[in-house]
Amino acid sequence: MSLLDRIREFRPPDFSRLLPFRVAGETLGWVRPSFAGALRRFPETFRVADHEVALSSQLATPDARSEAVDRVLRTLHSDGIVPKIRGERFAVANRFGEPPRLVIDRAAVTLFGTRAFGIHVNGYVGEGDAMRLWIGRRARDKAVAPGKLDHLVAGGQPAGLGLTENLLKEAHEEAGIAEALARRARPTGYCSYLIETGEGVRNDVLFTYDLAVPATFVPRNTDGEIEDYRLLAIGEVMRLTADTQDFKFNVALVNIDFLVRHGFVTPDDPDYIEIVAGLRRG
Amino acid sequence: MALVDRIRDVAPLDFSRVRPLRVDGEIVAWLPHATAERLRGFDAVFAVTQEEVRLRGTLTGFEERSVAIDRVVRALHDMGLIENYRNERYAIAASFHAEPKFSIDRGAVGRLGMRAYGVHLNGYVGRGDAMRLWVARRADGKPTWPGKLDHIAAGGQPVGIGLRDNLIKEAHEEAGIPASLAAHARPAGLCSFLTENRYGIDIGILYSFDLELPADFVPHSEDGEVSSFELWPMARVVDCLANGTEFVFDSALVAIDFLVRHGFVAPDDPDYLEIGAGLRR
Repeated sequence: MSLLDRIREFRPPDFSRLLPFRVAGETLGWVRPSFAGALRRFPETFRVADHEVALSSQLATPDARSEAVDRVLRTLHSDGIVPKIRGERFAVANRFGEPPRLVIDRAAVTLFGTRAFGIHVNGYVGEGDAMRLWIGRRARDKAVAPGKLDHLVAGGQPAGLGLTENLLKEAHEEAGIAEALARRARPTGYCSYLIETGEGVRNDVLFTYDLAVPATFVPRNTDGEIEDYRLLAIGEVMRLTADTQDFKFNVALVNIDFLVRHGFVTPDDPDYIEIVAGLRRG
Repeated sequence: MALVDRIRDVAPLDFSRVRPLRVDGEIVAWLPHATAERLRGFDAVFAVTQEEVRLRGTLTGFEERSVAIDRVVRALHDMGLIENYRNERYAIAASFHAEPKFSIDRGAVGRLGMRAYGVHLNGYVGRGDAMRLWVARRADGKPTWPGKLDHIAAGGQPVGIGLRDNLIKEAHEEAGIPASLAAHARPAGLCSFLTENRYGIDIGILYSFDLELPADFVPHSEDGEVSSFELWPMARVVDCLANGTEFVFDSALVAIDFLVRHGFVAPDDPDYLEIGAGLRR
């Protein structure tokens, strides 16, 4: 087992089996044929062809698109085709900060394969080989990846919230981090991938942040989403990332990016080039 | 003007203008068509077709191949097709960790479309918003990119030396950084590109290293390849990169990667993803 094994788990999908999801001429996501079939029932909202799923050009504004897609999702939900509505609104755009083309429920993001943004905060203590990383264990009742290891703070990016606002909110809710400390988090880049999962297509961009926390700091979960936190030696984080699947799949990717940026993976590793190239795809 | 302009400056290599050079069936270079046609004159070494160039199978072993190819490189230098014979050997392989097929003079690498590897050192002082970066100006006599801005130390990766040892050697020669200090440099990733510029085809992988320097350290050039060093606040580094092409294009990529990694580019900048993707191609 190696770090490269974690990278290779992010296999690109077979695009010949997916249909581009297009809005006003722009490809915003990737849809499975089975879901495209379900959308054929709603010709006023979706134009489903053999080669693409397009939002009706009659829907000219983001509000009109969002309302029409929401109505379709609620119908499909009551028919049991869309398993749940999460009640969290995600903006749909290829670049963060662009005006959203529409807004959809978080549960539909994977069905349409649209790009989702998130923030991940690497909370660490100490420097160099003495560095340690705060790692959380996700609650057993989380909808996604229950019981898996996670970062000190991580979360999806809801519509209408800035990245820093979201970071401060998640830092408070997930780890009880005071705003003054959370504001010291520094952006360090991003990881991205486009993969097929059980539910559909995940097309994610994870903005990464580093936060040096004082040795006296102890995180405290306030929203019940993290079972416990522990401070792991960087070597242990590396071993668990390389040798196990204990970390949530995308947390492993952000860990590897952290290990590369801080020099714990070195360029004389024969896998180095493939590892680095694998951190940003999709 | 914006940082993403430096990314867009690095025009992708047009593969319709090149053909592969294969050794043992593996691609080791992308030759411009005109250069490939000139290799028809070296029939004992290369088999040239419209689609590709192959190193003759009669040449086997690293030494025999290196000697035969060196004769061709010297001839191309005499003909003016290769401007500089640099007397520095680069290993040529299908990938960095693969067994080298042969070695070749550094001056031929670009003209023959071979991938080159290098090490770049980001030498900085202070942390957070108080961070400053040492910037070097290349001497006017440098064979490539004279007078342009560069890192405190950077260099190509020659045969027979490890990346870290090469970094320590370059840090000493270019900036007078003692080995005991340079040994604290930490690897921090890589930038890569496939492009074409005035010196030929440029296919590069640059390994970046970060080194925090003491505030009282002042670099000095031991080998005369740098004309001056300046310690710049990060805001000045950002401005200079965003507003012009004073930096060598590949050092600009490594410097932008440094800015991203250390939080000097905001992730809600709409160019953020294009910048991130453009650093590794």
